[in-house]
Amino acid sequence: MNEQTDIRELNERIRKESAFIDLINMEMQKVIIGQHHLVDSLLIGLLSGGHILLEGLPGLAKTLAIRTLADSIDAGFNRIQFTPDLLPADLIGTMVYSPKTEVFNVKKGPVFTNFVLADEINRSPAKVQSALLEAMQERQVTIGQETYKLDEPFLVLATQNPIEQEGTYPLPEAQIDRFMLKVLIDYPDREEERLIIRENLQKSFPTASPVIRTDDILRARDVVKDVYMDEKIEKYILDIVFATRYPERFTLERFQPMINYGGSPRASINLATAAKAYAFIKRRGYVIPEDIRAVCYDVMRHRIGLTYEAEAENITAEDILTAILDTVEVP
Amino acid sequence: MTEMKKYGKRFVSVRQGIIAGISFIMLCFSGVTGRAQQIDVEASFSRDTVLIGDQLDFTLRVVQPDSLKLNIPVFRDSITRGVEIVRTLRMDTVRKKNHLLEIIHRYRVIVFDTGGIVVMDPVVVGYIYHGMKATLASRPVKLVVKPIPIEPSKGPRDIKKPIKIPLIVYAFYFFFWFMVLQLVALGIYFLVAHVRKKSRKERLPEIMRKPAEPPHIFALRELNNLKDARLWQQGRVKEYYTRLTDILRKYLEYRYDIKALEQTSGETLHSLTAAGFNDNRLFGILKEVLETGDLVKFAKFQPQPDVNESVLLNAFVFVNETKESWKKEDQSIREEKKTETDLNDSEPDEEGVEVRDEKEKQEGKEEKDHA
Repeated sequence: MNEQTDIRELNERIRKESAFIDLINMEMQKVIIGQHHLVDSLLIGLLSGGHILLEGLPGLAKTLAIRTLADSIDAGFNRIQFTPDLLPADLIGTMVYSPKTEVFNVKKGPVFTNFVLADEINRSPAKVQSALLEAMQERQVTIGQETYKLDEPFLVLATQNPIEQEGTYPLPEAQIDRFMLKVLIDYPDREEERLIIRENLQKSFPTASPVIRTDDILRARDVVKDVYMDEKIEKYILDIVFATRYPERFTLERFQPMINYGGSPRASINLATAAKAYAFIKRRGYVIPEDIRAVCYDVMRHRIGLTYEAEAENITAEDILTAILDTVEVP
Repeated sequence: MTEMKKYGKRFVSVRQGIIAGISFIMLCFSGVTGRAQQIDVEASFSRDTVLIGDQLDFTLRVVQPDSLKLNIPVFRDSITRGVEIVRTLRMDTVRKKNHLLEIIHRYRVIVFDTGGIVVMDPVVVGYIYHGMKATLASRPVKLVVKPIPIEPSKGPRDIKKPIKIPLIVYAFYFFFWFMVLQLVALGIYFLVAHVRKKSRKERLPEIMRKPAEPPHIFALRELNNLKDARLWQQGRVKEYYTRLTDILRKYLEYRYDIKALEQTSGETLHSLTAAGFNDNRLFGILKEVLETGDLVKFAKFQPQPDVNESVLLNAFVFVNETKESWKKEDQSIREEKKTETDLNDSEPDEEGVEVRDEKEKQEGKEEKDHA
């Protein structure tokens, strides 16, 4: 009976702490029309402290969505346009000599903020990507002899364009794995696009106003960690991740030659964390299989390495995940 | 004189003895010398005259005493300049009378020298005789190589066209046996694939195998087993709900052909609607059972005993009432079948339907008893 009371209490806490989600949603809907999945994914990243990589064609409001999310939270926000001539020092900061005091002073880079929008991350060479990804993983930056902790919450929201290959530096697999979610953005439907046209033709474009503070997010993150996950759900997560590594064990032999490598243990951790955050968004104190399935594609799609055979057969990571979800038994 | 004659006679006999002795010694040595002299080396071509590019045989024949070791040359690429070896033919050794061996080496050769006479160098055979190195050579051989005759009167000619070989019998046999082998290999492949598929099917977990009986029979039997197991009464509430929802999902999978085992509760209900299920009351019952099951399985929910009983009862109700519609569908199928059998005037099928009707009547009676 105590456990049952715990869940009830947790549900109550969630109901209380998740009130800001409606506020953020309202603010975002003022600016962003449609793209509900994108908004949910941004909230999952926000609540679980996971960085997000947004991939979509130009003009799908990737940058606008991130900027609106940052605007609706009373927190620091910096946008960095990644270019081929960007240097790590432009990102993390550097030591600057002061002739007046005759000492080197630390000049912190734009990464020292709560929300970093790394726009077109694949336009910068590997050394800049590595500098940012190190900050993402360690949540600290070393300039000269000193190491500086980054502010909490610290969230990197990166965008990349899938069609332009010339002059780009694709993120290596080891670095792309550090993004908790890779969200694909698709075109809005006809009705949504009609509203987008109307909104843009108005004299003033709506803007989001800050409705919550960073403390609210940090408190909500604590609650997300308390969301109950049953061992059946844990087994379901492991089944999915193991099916990406050993498809033949799940009667998916046909995908064995198409998978170069499957999900890492970080994938299992992120799948569980993202599912908890999704349950929180849905005002639940426990995770159900629906939560796993809802976040599975975003968490796993960039963690499955495909072989040349898969590319030749036009098999995508999404196809493999769909087959896995259709085969692995739900608890 | 008599003595002289006597002595003369003796002298003659001594002389004869000496001559006989010398003759004997010579005879003894003459055997060895004779054998040594019996070594014979002979090189020859199968033809004296050839056209340029023609193939012919070259034979090296050596006769020797069997006790003697000869160093017979073995040719690799060419016999002599301009005479190239196409391939080495089978070598032969024949034991002859008088302790002699005949060794024959044969080569298929080709001549590309542009006309003229090829003089084959003598083939030298080495051997050791009484500790001394000795050699013996064959006679030089002559081969006349003629060029292709040019007939200017006929004028220039085109390149010869490929020769058409007629389909001969053995080619047909080869094709026939090739096809037979292909068919046998194909048969073996399908047999192995079938056996492997069957064994894989057998390895699948119980829940994944399609039952051989109608889904409602399986579901009702499993629900009765669950009831008899008295799990929630023993405090094993989670196990009770896991089994209950598994039975229902398996029933839905085979009853409505939806992938309920691989779907969440919400997806299952959605698929059920998509499959044409439109009974709101039964839909509500199923939804309640699945949602309560999810709460127990994933949210540590501990329902009251009356809820535990009611979900099982609801599961029975759902299966029984959806079974009715299945029966109706089955009845219509059977009626169709019966019409077909009537048309075909086939007795065994009719009997089969009757037996099945009887069986279902009995099952219905049993289910009523359970209720």
